[in-house]
Amino acid sequence: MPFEYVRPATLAEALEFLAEHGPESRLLAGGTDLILEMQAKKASPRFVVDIGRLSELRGVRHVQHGAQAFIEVGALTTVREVETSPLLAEEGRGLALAAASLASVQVRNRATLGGNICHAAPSADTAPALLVLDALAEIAGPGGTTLVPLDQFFLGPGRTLLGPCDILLGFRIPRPIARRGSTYLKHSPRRAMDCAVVGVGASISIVNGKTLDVRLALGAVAPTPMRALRAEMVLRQAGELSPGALAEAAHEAAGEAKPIDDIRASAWYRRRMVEVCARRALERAAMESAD
Amino acid sequence: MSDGIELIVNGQARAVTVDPGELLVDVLRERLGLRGTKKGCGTGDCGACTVLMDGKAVNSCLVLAHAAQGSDIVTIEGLSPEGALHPIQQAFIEQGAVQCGFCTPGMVLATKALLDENAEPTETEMRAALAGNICRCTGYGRIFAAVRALSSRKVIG
Repeated sequence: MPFEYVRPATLAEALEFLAEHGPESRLLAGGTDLILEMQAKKASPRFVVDIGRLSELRGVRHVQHGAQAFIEVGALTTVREVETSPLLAEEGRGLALAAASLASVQVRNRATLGGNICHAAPSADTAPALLVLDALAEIAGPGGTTLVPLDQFFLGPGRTLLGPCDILLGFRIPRPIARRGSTYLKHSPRRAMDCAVVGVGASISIVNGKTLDVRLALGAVAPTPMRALRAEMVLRQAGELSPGALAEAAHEAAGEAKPIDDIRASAWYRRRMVEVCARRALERAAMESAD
Repeated sequence: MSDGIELIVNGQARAVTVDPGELLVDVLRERLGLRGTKKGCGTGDCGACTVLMDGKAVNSCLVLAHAAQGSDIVTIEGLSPEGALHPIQQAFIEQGAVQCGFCTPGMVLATKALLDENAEPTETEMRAALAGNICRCTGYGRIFAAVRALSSRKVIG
């Protein structure tokens, strides 16, 4: 892999380097995707820009922007740090569960949340979990910094709206006023070291027995991680999580999915499993919100 | 176009010249002659190349040498510096957890990483900590027995 290794000392330096050499560069965070890509000759950049140690882009914390409170997760926070974050265990458990389900401890100690999202595999575990938390992606580039709702971030398998000179800085998760339960359910042949055949993220806010708000997101069953908007609408209109409403929403989600046949599973099987897993994820999220 | 990096390996400061694309596993095995770390897959799937990097278990086949600049690395050789076996190695032997031995360095270091962080892992925590290490010989039973024997909790079953 003949490339030039570059390690900018600060975010500003990194952006400056990319402004000039972006199209010939790849960003190195944890390396657990990029190194494999380069070995498989799917990437042969002239420069590998190591941003893995930019501590300014790492960490899970509460922040305030104007009147809105957020949980901010830096793009270079390792998946292991996401998995074990006390803050996320309390306020974003689905994301912590998704992180815990990814590969192995060894991979999670290097892989980053930003890297998992930017690699943009349709089956990326952290994507459905972030989507149901209404996460926004903060992106820095030559034109400045922008905030993009995560459901607009993915363009296709392995493709995002990031330009060659952009750096994903991190994620902002709005902190809701009502108690919100969230979960991530991963359906795969093995309990570890597998890509999801179906991945489901769900979040529910319930107040006084009434379903205030619902989010449902699916991974590995469409060209990109996706929100199941029609399923959400079913539950919103039902106003409660009766077995009937859950069954109807899960069935709707299965219809919204666009799975393909591939080496891991058939489209038919994936669609059936969306229905099962969506219902289970919603039930679990509801239990979380009642805690 | 080679360059110099500095690491701490098993408590010793080491300086090595590396190529940009060189991986930590190859620095350890080829440049430093520490062949206890094994190459099983090269894709981060088997855990045979596990080392501790700043206290954390990582697949050294997925770490660029340059990205390890300044890091504190512990390989299997670092567990028994004077030749006396580390308690984890001792437990593996006593419990019959070593057959061909190829997965063993990675298993031992993954176990060390687990017990350093959590001296009394539950069954689930133990399995999750070792999920990234494949063994083709033992069926894992004896390996788990070794970890249980080391655990302060002394879990039964």
